[in-house]
Amino acid sequence: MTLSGRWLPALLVALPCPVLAQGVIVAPHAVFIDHATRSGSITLYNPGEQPVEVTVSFGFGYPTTDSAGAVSVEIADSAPTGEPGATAWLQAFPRHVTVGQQQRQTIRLLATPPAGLADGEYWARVIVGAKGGKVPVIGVPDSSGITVGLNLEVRTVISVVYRKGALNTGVVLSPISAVYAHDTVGVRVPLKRTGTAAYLGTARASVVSTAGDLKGQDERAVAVYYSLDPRIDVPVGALAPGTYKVRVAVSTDRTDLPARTPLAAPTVRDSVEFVVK
Amino acid sequence: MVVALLLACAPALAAAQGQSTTTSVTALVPGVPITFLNLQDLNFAVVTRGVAKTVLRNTAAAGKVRVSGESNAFAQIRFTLPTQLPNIQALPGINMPISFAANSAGWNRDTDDPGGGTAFNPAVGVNNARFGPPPRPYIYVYLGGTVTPSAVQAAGVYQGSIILTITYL
Repeated sequence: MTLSGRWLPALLVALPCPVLAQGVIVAPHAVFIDHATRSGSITLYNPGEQPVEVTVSFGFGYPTTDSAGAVSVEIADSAPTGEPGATAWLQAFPRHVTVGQQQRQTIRLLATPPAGLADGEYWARVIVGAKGGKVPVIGVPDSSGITVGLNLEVRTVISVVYRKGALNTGVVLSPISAVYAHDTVGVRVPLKRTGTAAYLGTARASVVSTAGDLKGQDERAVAVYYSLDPRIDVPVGALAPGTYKVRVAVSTDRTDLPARTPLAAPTVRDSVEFVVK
Repeated sequence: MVVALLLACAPALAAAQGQSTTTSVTALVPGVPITFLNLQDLNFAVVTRGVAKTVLRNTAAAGKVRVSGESNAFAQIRFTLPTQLPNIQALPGINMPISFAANSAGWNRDTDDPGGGTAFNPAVGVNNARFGPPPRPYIYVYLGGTVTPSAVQAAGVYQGSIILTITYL
């Protein structure tokens, strides 16, 4: 059973949701396509009481980090030269559709890769835009008869991963660092991918005292396409003077993705001490 | 994970119907799709010729959207904003300027608190927004703005679109 197929019963049971809902629900939030089938699908559901116009398009982008460790994904219309983009040879059917109130719609994703495509992983993003079929006009005209209306279009961006051949992945974890300020320990986790496919996993950080008491912990999903140096802010409250240890573990378990879609790789770990004076 | 979706939807559904609801799940699949709930349109109310009108992000007239997603997951918020609102009842070229200050937008995790949210520049967006923990895996997004009608602004309906893009990180 496909992921979309597995979703449908849940959607039918779960919804309708709020009558004020805007846009459509897009599931799953990551699509994996293999070279054997060359196709995938996403399911849209309109939980609202008005038809929603949906547009499906493709872009290219992957997570990167800035100097402060903030992660972002900048979406371009196409893949830059040299990048393993699938944007140019992915198609969605249909690309434009009106989804009626409390109706669902399947969008097929078909890949037509060039002949002789090398083994590897190819990336794209699906952008699902949705706007209500009825444009609300708000505001009260004064005696001059001027009215201002703004309508909202919402977009959901999900990743598409196209895989060909036997792939592997892993990460190298460079020495981590930790800074304590404002009741939070900011932990930098410098990761560099190895292998032939993106590393999808979870980074977990914990702060313990020298006595082994847990002071705080947090985690975040990581997608390392090339390199990533995210900052994990671990709330610890006010720490008494002393020495503390930060432990970080990065593994390929992801509860938000279908089993086996994150390629397995050994867990990597590091730790560092810091002193509160 | 679908349970989280159900929980996310339940309060609004209950509010909409004025009653509590119970649901069951026949399938569990990983990942929580993003859901938008438009709670308040950006409302400029009365607009007068020659008088700029500003709506602050932390006021009742501000636009407000509740985004539901995976508990504690990080997300990126981006806006695509108009600079001119065309008069849809007039010939092309009749516009009204609209602008957004560097603090016109805000977001808050978990709870609806426009006064306590984090301000950001809607032209830039925000990284590292984070959905709330269970049972409220929400990000509230707020948007204000300014329209500047001229002293000779033509009568009519001025209309534009704002695009809100959310991406899991």
